[in-house]
Amino acid sequence: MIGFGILLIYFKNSTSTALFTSIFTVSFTILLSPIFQKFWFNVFLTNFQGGSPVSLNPDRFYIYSLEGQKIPIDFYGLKIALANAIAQLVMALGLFGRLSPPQVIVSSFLFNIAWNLNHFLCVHLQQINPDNRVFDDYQISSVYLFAATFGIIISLMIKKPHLTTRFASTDLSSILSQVGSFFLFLSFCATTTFYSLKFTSTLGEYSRSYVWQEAFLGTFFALSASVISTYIFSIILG
Amino acid sequence: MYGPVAGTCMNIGAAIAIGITAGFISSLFFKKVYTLVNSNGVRDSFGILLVFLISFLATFVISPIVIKAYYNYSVNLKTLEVSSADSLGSPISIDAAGWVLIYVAISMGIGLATGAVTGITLYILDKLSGHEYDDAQIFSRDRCLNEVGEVPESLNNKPHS
Repeated sequence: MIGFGILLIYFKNSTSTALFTSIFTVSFTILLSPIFQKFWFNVFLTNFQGGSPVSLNPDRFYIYSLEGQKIPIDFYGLKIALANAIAQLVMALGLFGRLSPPQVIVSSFLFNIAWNLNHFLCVHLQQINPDNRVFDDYQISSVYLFAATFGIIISLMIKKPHLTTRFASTDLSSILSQVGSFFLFLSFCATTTFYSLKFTSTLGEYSRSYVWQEAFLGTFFALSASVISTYIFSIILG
Repeated sequence: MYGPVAGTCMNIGAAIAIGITAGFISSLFFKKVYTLVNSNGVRDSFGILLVFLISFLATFVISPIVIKAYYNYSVNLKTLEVSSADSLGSPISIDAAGWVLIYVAISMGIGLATGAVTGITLYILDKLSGHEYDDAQIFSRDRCLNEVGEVPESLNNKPHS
């Protein structure tokens, strides 16, 4: 989250906007996401016949009530919320500097509904999948592809400001965005360990942490190779 | 691009090859496509088209290919077991490759539909506001400086290409 926030500082004069976008998106999503999680969970997995997303999960640490419905907050729910927030920040990559604060709030609200719908629909499909496995290990389709598709469609519809100096950068903002890229580099490796959103065939046992050091190392090598090849090909392509 | 198969494809050579390909696509995109897309108004601030392209390639091409390869060699991947409820050590079913494509299609479909609804809503908000949004109107430090009558410092900075 810090990495995305600092990366968005790349434009001149956009420091406060970048901080507002990243902090608001994460905090708003963490508050709002459990409500939509509960709703879509009921729609796709329990058909409103009771049951909790985390009925047997010992990680549950807080429950709040809304209209008589108990909404549990647990570590796994927060992982879903943070994956949702990452998807929103990916969407912000394409729309940054073009959305006013009211538009950021509205788009974040609608994105929460849509992302949780997509996530729990995929979970439902996994339940009926003979393997009970999803070979989308780090939610690339539901986080990055979904966010990019969502962002491109919005990008085509909203105003397209002319390229002025406010979309240029200064030396300081370039350095800060490099620091943001560095944090993102680290976080991509870290998410291979902590952010798998695996679902099992039984509803009670919901998630398991990764213990795959190979995945961590593989991600590190892939990122390192991409950074080096980007430098080389950028020079070659002029 | 490596994300969908990071836990499945445990081959450092394959990881590096995927990284090099992603780097080539990235540099090609920012040198050629990004400038073309933004030549007539800013349509893509930081390159979300690149995110789309790379994640699309990853989930539509790399992930099914890796699953198919493991299926062909009947490899038992212990690391794929996420729960004791799974069938332990069973080889990957070839159906898994098809299921990957279903998840991708659903993600894109819902993204398109809900993105269109959100886009229409934001377009209406754009119309209501009546003017182009500029960060400087709300957040900029220059605005504060102007109010006390000083020259904005950033006007003296040359834009960084």
